[in-house]
Amino acid sequence: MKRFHVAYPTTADEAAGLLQTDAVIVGGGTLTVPALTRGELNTAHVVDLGRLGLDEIVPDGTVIRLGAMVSYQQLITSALVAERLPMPHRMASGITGGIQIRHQGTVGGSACAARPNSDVPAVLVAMRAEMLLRSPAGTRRVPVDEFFLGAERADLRRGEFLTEIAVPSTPPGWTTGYYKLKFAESSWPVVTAACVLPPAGSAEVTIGGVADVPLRITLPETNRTEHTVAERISAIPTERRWSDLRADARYRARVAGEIACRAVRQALAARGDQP
Amino acid sequence: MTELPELPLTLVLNGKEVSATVDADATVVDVLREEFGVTGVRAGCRNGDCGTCTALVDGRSVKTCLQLPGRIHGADVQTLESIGTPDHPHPVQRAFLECYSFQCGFCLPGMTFAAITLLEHTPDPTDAQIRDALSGNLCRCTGYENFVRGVRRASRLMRETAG
Repeated sequence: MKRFHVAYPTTADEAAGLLQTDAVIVGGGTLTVPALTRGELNTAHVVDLGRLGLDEIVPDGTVIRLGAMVSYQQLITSALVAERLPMPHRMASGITGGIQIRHQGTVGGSACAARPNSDVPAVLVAMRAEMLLRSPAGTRRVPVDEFFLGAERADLRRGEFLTEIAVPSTPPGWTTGYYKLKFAESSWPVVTAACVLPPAGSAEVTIGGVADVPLRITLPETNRTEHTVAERISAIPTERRWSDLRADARYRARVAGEIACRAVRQALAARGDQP
Repeated sequence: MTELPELPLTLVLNGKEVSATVDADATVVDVLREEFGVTGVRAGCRNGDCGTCTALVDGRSVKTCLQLPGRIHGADVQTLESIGTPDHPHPVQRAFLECYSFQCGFCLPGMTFAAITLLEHTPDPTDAQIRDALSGNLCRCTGYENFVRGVRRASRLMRETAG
């Protein structure tokens, strides 16, 4: 294992200044620290954001601002998140890894890792979040749809780090659902589905774990969800379909419709409809 | 800012202030064991899966194999050493003993702190909540059922004492 230096900046300006071209950023540490331990990430410089204090949840008009270091446990215990971001709240409550990982894993870190089958990416796409990226040049705001470029590839340029995720509140009268397929309690998700249901107009469901980035799909009729999802998935080019050791792309495509239906049924039930 | 291959570290460990200069690129579990001689955290998978490196850092149960040492600078760290004594075990420890929850004990750091954290916030948990709370810890001896019983019993013990 290559030895590395670790910097613990205390301000965003200092962090932006420290991010050299080969620096690895440690947020919650749940992905990066084991990769450093195993020597899978080789770097001479690590910037640990642990002293930056980017861990606040702040309401700002119709938006909830989540600091990049906000943990899953903070989402779970926040009354504000439970009330105004019910889907991310539900997602956090189902994170794999028990209490410790919920204390340590961060929403921002999962977004930056951009693993296709993780819980966070599809939920942020479903919520139409905005990502705030800091560099020595200032702050760049990126709609989440443009943030996920591919599998494990987020739009983070050299010297940039994520400071905040701005998530629009779910308005009164709107309901949501989140469902994921995993094979065991301790498993990573295989396919995820996040549904947003407005009081009028079309529902949307965002599917994770099928393509290299989350797919947001408009559902003109919720009773044809499976059909609409299947159609959309069949149009994904082969090289953008996602396979990993848990399941291949064909399996993912086959189950996605049903997983989408389960998320949609939750949103319908939350509205009081008979799904 | 600190940027050194070695890192001066001061923290409160199990109620006592301690200091050392440690490798900046070690993980906290190794620092606690090698520098401070604390064996109540153990190095298991080093991947955040097994939970046996669990400690309380500023009151939050965390897996210390996922942390670089600067994260505990100035922190209050409690390991299994600070929880109960043979004569006066913590109610969670007493319940684990009474329910034969464990055999070899390797998994106890994670199991004990996960249970303590759960019962702090949820004094009377459902079985589903207990299983969910323990799910970040691997035990290769028991098959987990007796840990679930143990947490249920600890919950009763703690509520009786509180009542």
